[in-house]
Amino acid sequence: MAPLIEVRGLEFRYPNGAEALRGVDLDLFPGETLILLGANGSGKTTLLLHLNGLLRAQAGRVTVCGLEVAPSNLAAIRNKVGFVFQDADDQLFMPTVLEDVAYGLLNRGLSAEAARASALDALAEVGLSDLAGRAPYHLSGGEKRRAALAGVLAMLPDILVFDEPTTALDPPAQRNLAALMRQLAPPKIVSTHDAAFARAIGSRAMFFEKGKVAGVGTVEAIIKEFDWEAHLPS
Amino acid sequence: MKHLEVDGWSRRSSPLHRLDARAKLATVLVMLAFIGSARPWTARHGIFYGGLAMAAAFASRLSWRGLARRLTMVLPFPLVFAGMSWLASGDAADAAGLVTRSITSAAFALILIGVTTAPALLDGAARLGVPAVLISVTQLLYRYLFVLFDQSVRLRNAAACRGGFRWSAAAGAAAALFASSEDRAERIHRAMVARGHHGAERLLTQTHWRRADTCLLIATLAVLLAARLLWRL
Repeated sequence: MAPLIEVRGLEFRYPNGAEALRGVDLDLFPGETLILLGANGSGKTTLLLHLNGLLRAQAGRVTVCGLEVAPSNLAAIRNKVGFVFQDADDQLFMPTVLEDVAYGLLNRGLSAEAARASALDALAEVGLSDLAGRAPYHLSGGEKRRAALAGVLAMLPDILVFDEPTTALDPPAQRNLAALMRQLAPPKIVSTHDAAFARAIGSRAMFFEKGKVAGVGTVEAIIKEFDWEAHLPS
Repeated sequence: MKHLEVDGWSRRSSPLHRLDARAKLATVLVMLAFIGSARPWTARHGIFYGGLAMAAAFASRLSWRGLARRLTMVLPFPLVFAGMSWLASGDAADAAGLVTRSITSAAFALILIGVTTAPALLDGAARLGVPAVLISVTQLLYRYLFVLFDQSVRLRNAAACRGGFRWSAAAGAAAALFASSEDRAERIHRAMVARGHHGAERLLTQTHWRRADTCLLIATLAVLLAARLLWRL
């Protein structure tokens, strides 16, 4: 089975000299949910930002659905890869939830009527139909996260990328989000620190350490191998 | 996101809210041109244009208190210039005129943004032929100004929790503010790009030019021209 996303030998260094990725290889196959685990600063977010061309590879290659991530393919790739950012407040910048969800559709050239209809469908999918006219800053953390997801789902992406989706969510909101994500058909790459959340949604996991892939396997095996359970002192 | 308080106003309903953004923008520009070109500015001008601003505020159904509070935020700027003018020329009436002229102009601008959402206003400007690059820069400026404001509130809260703000730490705080705002602005820009942002923005709800828009523009022009020709206002 051909991978939908293929990353080979990816390297990236930030302008301040910090080496974020050091020869990363990754494959995402149809139907799977790939979990990226690892400490803060291990390179997970930097890798994700390469998947729709928000960062450009300094060495190595990223291919999405057979298209190399390059300036000439960026529009097509961004139509295929839906990105849900870590902080929903960064992603919700329009005055109402409905306008925010329709933002990408209008950019894609849909008519206002078609964009409105698709945005309402996406809001229904995440259970936020009642909040379409609300200002995003009036939503709870969980609702913001779902509104941000609706903005991505509305564009019918082939692949979903989530950067630490449980950040700042309370346990019920985490449960709701996990249930919602399990229902979503597209294959997913999810970066998270949360072992329970990873178990709930993941089919395979990779562990990142200092910009390198330190291990690949089942979610359970990776959590055990790298002791990624929160053993808090009692 | 405090800017949404003003956006909240712009989402209310009134005869002015329902008008096309182009008509409102053109009307305010005409009004500002007349205010700016009134020579000399006397108390009669202040009463006439102030009265028009109050009529517009009444039609907008915006909060009088909210409008007044925001106008007082503008007040220090004309006061400084008026003070300098008074000191230079010794003409108190001229200085007072500068203040009332500025406040009246600010009132019209404030009512305009209070009855038109920022995206609709920029869309209206674009449809009036304002160059796309200016629209794009204004959009980003609008968004990032409030990013800066949000970040400043966070820093202020953090400082308050640790004993309050000290002027001796102002330079460091300002540097931190700009650095964190730049980071946040970059994240927002990434989120926009990830959803296909390419400079221009389209609206979900676009108003259309109707008879009421033509009436507003013609009536405003007629009143202002008549006042200028008949009473030199």
